[in-house]
Amino acid sequence: MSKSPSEQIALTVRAADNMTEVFLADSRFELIANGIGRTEATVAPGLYKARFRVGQVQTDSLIEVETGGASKIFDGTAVQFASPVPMPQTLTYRQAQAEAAQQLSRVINLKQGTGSQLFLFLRGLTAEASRPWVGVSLHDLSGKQFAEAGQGTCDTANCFCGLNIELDPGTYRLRVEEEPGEIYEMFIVTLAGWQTQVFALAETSWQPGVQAVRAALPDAAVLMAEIDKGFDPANPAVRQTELLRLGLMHGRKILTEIGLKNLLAGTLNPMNAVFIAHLLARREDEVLQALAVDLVGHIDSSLAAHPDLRAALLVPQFVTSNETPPIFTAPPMLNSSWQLITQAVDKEKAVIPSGSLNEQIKAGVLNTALWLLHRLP
Amino acid sequence: MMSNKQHYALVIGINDYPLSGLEPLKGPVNDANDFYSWLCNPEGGNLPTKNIRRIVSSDYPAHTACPTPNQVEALFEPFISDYYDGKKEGERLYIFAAGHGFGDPNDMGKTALYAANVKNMFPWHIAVTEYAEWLRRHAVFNEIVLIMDCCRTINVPHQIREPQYVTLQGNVNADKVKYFYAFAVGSGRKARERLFEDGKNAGIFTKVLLDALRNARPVQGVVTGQALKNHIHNSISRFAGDHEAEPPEIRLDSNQDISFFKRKSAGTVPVMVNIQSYSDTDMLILYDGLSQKIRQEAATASVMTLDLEPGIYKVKIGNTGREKLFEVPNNEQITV
Repeated sequence: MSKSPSEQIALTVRAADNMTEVFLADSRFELIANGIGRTEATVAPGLYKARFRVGQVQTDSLIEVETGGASKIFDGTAVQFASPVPMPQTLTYRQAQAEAAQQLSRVINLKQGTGSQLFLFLRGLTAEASRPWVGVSLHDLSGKQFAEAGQGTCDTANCFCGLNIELDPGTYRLRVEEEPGEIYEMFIVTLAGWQTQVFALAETSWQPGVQAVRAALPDAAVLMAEIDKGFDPANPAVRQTELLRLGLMHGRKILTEIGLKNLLAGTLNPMNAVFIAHLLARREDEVLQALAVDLVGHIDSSLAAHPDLRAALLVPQFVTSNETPPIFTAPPMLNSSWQLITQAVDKEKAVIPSGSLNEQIKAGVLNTALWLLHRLP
Repeated sequence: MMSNKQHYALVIGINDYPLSGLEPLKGPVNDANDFYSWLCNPEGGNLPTKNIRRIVSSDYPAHTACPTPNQVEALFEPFISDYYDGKKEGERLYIFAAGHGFGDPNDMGKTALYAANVKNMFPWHIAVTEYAEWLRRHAVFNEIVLIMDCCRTINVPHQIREPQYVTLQGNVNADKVKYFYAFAVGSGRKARERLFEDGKNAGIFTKVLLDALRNARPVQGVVTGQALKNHIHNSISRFAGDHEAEPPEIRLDSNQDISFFKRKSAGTVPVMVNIQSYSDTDMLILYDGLSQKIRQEAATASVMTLDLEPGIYKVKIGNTGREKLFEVPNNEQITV
C-alpha cells in the first residue's frame, strides 16, 4: 500500500504502570508528546521512539507506525529500576531475599509495646554487602536504643537481615553508623493497626571518602501494610508505593487525575497518602488542587496524626480549618515535611517546642535527601 | 575559518586527591584535555588558544596536592576584575570542570569540585556553579556554557562556600544571558567514568557531550542547546557500557537558546549490519524515519557498513521477511 502524503494515524503509547512517564519522539529525536502512564499523538506513518521513565531510570522502544491503519497502540514493558524492596521487575530483585522478607514480616522478633509493628529488612547484592545489619540500630525518640538490626534473622549467604518488632504507635529513630563517629538517623512512624516496613540496601557508603558498606538511608524505601498482611513482593500495591517514592524523590510530576482517583479508591494506604500529599503539595494546577481536597477527605483520625500528613496540610492546597498553629515535637519522615514545618514556623503558622527533638536536630539536617536525615553531633 | 575571538574557556580536570580518602580518578584529566582539543579545533569550538585557560592535576607532581582552590579560582578572577573595571568580557564563556564533586546539602542547584588538597576535615573546593552564576548575574558574557562531569552526592559537613568575590548589584541585562548548564547526573547522584574502546579512561558524560558537539543533528542548519540536549539524552546509554546510564541534568531556557554553531547536516556514524544466514542473493533495503526507502542494494557480504546520520531507521533483507528497527547512534551493530 502506498503512503498518502496526508495520512495521519492516532498513536497511543501505554506504559506498564500508570505512574511511569512516557515520552514520544520522532525519528529526529524531537519530542512530540509526553504523558504519565500513556501518551497519544496523531502522527504520519514512520518510525518513532518511546521512552519510559521511572525516577532516574529510563528504557526506550522503537515503534513503526505503518500505513493503512487508523490507529495504533503500543504497550511498553515495565521499567526495571533499582529498589531496596525485593520485588519482581526491578534490577535489584533477589528471589531468596523476597521470600525471606515475606516470611519474616509475619513473625514478631521483639515486643516493645502494642498496636503497631516495625519491620526492618536490610539486604545486600554483593559479597561485600553480606552483613547489611552492621552498624544499624533502632532507638526511641529519646535516643534510647531498643534493638540492633543484628537481633533479627540474619543470613550472610543470602545477604539479608529481617527484624520485626511490635511496638506502640509513634515515631522511632533508625540509626546507621557509617564509620566511628559518623552517625546518621532517619525517622520511622508507625500507626495503630499498621506495619511500617523499612527496606534498605547495603552499599559502599553514600558519603565520599567513606569505604564502609552500610545500609543506605538516603535511598531507603518505606511501605505500610495492614498488620496481619505482612510484606508481599507480588502485591502490585508495593510497586505503586515505590513509584510514588521515586517520583517524589526525583521531583517528577507523576500524578494525574485518573491515577490519583485509582490510588484513592478502596482503603487508603498511609504511606501512599503521605507520598501523594507531598506530590500534590508541589503542584499548582487546579484539577490536582481539587483532588488534594479529596485526599483530605480520605484521611481518618488515626492517619491524621501522622506528622508527614500534618506537615503536608500546612500548604494552601489542603484547605484546613486549623485556627491554632499545629505543634510538631517529633520529626517527620520526609525532608519535604521538614521544609514545610520550618517554613511554617518562620511564618508563625506552626510551632516547634523549645527543647523538642525537632529543635535539637536542626543543625544536622541533610536538606537534599528524600527522607529527613540528620547527622548526630 | 576565522576563530571565535570573543569566545573564552576555563577547563579544569583533577584526577588525584592525595590528602583525602577520595580514590584517585582516571578520567578527568583526559576529559579536560579532550574538551580542550575540541575547543581548539576549527571544526569544534574554534577558540584561539590564548582564550583558553586550562588547569589539570597532571600539571603538578602528584604528592603536591595541586591544584588548590586558589590556583583554580585564579582563572576566574580576571573576568570578575574586568567586569569591576567596566570592561565587557566577551560573547561566550565555556566552563568545563571534571573531577570529584559534590552537591550542597542545603541547595540542590549548587555543585562544587573538590580541590586536589581536599581533606575530610577541610573540604577545600571550587564553587563552580557559584562562579557561573556570578558571571551570569552580572552579564559578563552573553552566553555561559557550564559543563560539570562530577558526582553531585551530598556529604552533610561539606557545604559549598560562596567564593570571596566582591558583592555587586546584578546587571540589568542578566536575564538576557543565555545559558546551557550541563551536569553529568542529577543532584545527589554519582557520575561515572570508565575505560573506553580507545584505551583511555574518560567520564561517560564528557564522552557523550563531545559526541553531541560533533554529531548532533542541526535544526535548520543550527545546532542549538536543545539539539545537544536531545542528542545527549538519546545516546547516553550507548556510552555507559556496563554502568547504569543515569540521565544527565541539563538546564537551558528554550526561549533564548544558545546557537552553538552552524552545520549543514549531522555527522554520520558507521553502523555494522550483520546479515544472518547470508546468501549472495540477499537484498539490503534501508528505510528512513519517514518510512521512505533510501537505499536498496545487493548485499555483497554478510557484514555491511552503513554511514548514517542520527535518527531511526529500518533495515530489511528483501524476500526473507527479516527486518529490524534501529537508531543511530545508539546501535553501532545490528543483526538482521
